[in-house]
Amino acid sequence: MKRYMHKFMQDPLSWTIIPIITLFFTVFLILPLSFTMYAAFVHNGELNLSAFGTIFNTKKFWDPFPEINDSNFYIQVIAPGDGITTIRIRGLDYGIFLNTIIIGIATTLVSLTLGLTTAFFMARLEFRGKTILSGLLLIPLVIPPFVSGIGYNALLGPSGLLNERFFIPVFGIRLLFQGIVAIVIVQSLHYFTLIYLNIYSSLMNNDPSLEEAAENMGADRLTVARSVTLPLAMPGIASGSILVLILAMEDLGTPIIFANSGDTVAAKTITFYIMQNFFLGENTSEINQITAILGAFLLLFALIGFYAIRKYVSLKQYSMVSKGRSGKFRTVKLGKIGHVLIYVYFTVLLLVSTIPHWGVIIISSTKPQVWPLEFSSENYNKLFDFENGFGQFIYNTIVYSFTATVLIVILATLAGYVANRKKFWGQTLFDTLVTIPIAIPGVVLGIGYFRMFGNSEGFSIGDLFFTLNPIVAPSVLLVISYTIRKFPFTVRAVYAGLQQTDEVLEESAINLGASKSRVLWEIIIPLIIMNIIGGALVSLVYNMSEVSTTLILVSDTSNGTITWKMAQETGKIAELAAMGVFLMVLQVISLLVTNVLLKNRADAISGI
Amino acid sequence: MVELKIEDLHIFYDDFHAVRGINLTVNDGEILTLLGPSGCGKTTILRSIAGFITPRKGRILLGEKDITHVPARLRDSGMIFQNYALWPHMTIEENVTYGLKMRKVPKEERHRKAMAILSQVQLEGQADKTPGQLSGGQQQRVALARALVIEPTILLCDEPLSNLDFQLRVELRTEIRHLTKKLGVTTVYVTHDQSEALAISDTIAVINAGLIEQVGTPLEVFNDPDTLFVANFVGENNQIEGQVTKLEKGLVEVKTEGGDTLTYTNLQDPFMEDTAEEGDRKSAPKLAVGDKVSIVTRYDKIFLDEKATENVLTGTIRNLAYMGTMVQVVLNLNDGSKFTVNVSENLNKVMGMGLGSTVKIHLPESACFLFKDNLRVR
Repeated sequence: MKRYMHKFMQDPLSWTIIPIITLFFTVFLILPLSFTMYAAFVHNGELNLSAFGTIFNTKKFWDPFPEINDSNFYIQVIAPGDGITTIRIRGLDYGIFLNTIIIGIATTLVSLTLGLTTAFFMARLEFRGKTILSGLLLIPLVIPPFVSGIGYNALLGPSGLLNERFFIPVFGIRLLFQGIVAIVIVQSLHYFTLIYLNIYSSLMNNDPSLEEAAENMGADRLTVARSVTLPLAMPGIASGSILVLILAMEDLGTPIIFANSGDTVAAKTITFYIMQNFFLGENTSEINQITAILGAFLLLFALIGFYAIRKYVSLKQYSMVSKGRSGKFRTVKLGKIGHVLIYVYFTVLLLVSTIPHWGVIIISSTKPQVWPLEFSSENYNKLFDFENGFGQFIYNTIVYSFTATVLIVILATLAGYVANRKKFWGQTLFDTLVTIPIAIPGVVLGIGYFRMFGNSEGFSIGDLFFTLNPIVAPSVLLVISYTIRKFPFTVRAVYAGLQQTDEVLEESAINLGASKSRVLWEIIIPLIIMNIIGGALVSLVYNMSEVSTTLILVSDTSNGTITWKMAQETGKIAELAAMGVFLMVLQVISLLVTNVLLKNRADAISGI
Repeated sequence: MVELKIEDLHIFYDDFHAVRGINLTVNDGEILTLLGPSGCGKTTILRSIAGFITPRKGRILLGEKDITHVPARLRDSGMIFQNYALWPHMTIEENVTYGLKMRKVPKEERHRKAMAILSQVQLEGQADKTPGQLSGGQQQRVALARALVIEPTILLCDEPLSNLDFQLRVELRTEIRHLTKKLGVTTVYVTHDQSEALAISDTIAVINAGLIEQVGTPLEVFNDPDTLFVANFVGENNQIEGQVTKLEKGLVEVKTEGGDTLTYTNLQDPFMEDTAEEGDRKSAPKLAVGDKVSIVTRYDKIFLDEKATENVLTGTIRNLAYMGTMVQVVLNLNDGSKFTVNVSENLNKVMGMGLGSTVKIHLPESACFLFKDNLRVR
């Protein structure tokens, strides 16, 4: 304590920030997660490991060798007499546990293939329209998987537009993607952009002379790519892939959409199962032990991934080795045939990856079951209707997200400053604490909150501070969970800004007599304000489309958000789509502003 | 081992005419330096030899072979980059053997050759380290080894020492010259540092704004500059502006802007026709009375001399800097312009002169270069 006081006197600003942030993250991140872990092992006050056995002995959870039958198949062709052949592509059901892992890996592989190819084309080929393309490629990013599922169903679902108006009339075929395959498709269309951005920035940040040196030594293009370009882009490839792996496994939005439209295999993912089964009853904060165990596994995967990125990737950060970079990359100028091929590639990629976008836009703005399409504003009129429409939910979403974002801006700026500029014991831990939420599955944190703050027959913190009790008043806890979960985006942006700002600028102010807090206000914040705003906008975007903790914590209509309402009423697809479009518009605006502010530093958006 | 020939080279960056017609020959085993300020086009020329830039016009010949449009990887040149360009994900040995691997040299021989060249650059024990573990000087040695181990037809050096500190620069430039001479490899060396160029080259080509100002041995370029640009870029100089006031057989008289009079021997026949054509840098221009001329003098070839009577300027001492072997005296001339003299004798006496005192500066004819419109008057 004496030592702390001593340090405090020397630098009151930092030594106020460090304990406050640490306490905040301990109470609202570490403790809730510990409650989930506790619930995984302890049942009715006693250590109980039998539930682990239940998981690995029940085919519902663990079925490594599934039987192939009428409802469990890769591909099924049904050709009844009416002339319409139904082709169903589904993927086997390996049980909830394995399904989640398979979805994660498959989505990562598909996203990696698309992302890597796209990044290489964009970084090393010279063709007309590249600038426009680099903008278009961000489009898949502005649709949350949740909305994505709705849009996808609108076009490719059983009675989707593409099937009804194109495949059936033209080919006599009804094409259906279901189960794991459908989830992987929808996720990949969104997540490949994250990998693309990561690899692209790696490729552009390498020193161009490294490739020239290889060429000078006699290596052809393929050898240069294989022996120099790819290994140097490995940090970007690895961090992007692991991030997507984590996000795909903990995605709740996509399974909900498919599950609620009757797809039983899609329902069998860890997140969906937790969401459906964690709640044991009105008067208890006890949670279903099986869901806690599944949550704990999900958390474990995420932590391993996060650790791998931190350790492996930072080990392989090469950018500092050579002194400065020189010149531009030698790009391949495409000829006529090359142009045609590259346009075909990008047209197909963009058409397919915007299927969800077209879906939500079309279905929300046209009259149902009318062909040819006819415009209707009916769904949008309902948006701001507080009585029967979504007004209340839009209002809640905006209040929650903005409040959380304001908190994030204040705390993340201070935390980023301390983590970057101050040397202190436990600094790495502190840094990990404020960035790790990016990897924490929302459902796991959600049930942790529920267990920690909810009603209980025994002790619960919710009894003491009942404004924190999610059953009484979820909004406070919701804002806190938003703040914690989307904190990393802003803190990373601040960190990036500080790394580009020479510390000498602060030292010279201190030398002239300024206090630390004055320096923060008058020197640092003005210098990194663009990074703060950029990071805050990204946090805001993700807050607005937050699904998992919202679904766990909110149980009544008056506190619901847009995403909550969407999950409740998956039947009203057209109205949901209108809300999805509204979310997308908000996101597009925020991302455009972010892009202008952060320029090419797009990795701040996705970086761990 | 071959000679490199560049014929009428023109290179454009979009609309910018970066290299504007260069003709050069680098003899077999010779070290030729492209010397010039940044942005003059010297690196562009080097990169076109390496094959990273395609010229719009002109030819590059390596021996008998026209390599103007040969892909970079097939040119068999070894290049040393300004920032070393060592691959950070490979060990030193992997870096050095990369080129041999591309040439399908068997594994054992690769290893043997790598070890041999690494010992030549005094890096025997470092083969298994990665570039990040080496100092800047060591990294540059690796880059040198990597370029030389393939026994290139031509060695290309792009300001290889500019990221190192002074001591290392001097040490490494000796080493590079020693090694390339020993191997007899034809070398093109790019630098903006005149002392580096003087020390390392057999021949220097001074480049300015995409054109060659002068090609010559270090001695020629330093002691006998063809153009005002070369005189100013190589060596430390004062430049005085003046006007020709009298022109006789055997005598030129110039009145400086400060009002002093300087006289020079006129080697020109005043009745000869002016044969110099525009852009022709070799022919000397012909003087006429009233011509504006520039006079360039080296700091260390002129004297403070109270007894001098001819070719004398007067100046007021503004600063005295003791540099160990000499004193650098900064003066103001009559017209207020700055003028510097390096004095290397009687240093105590010079240091004793007060600031503000007036002195006579003697400019011996042999210490002056006379220029008209950038061209040397001979």
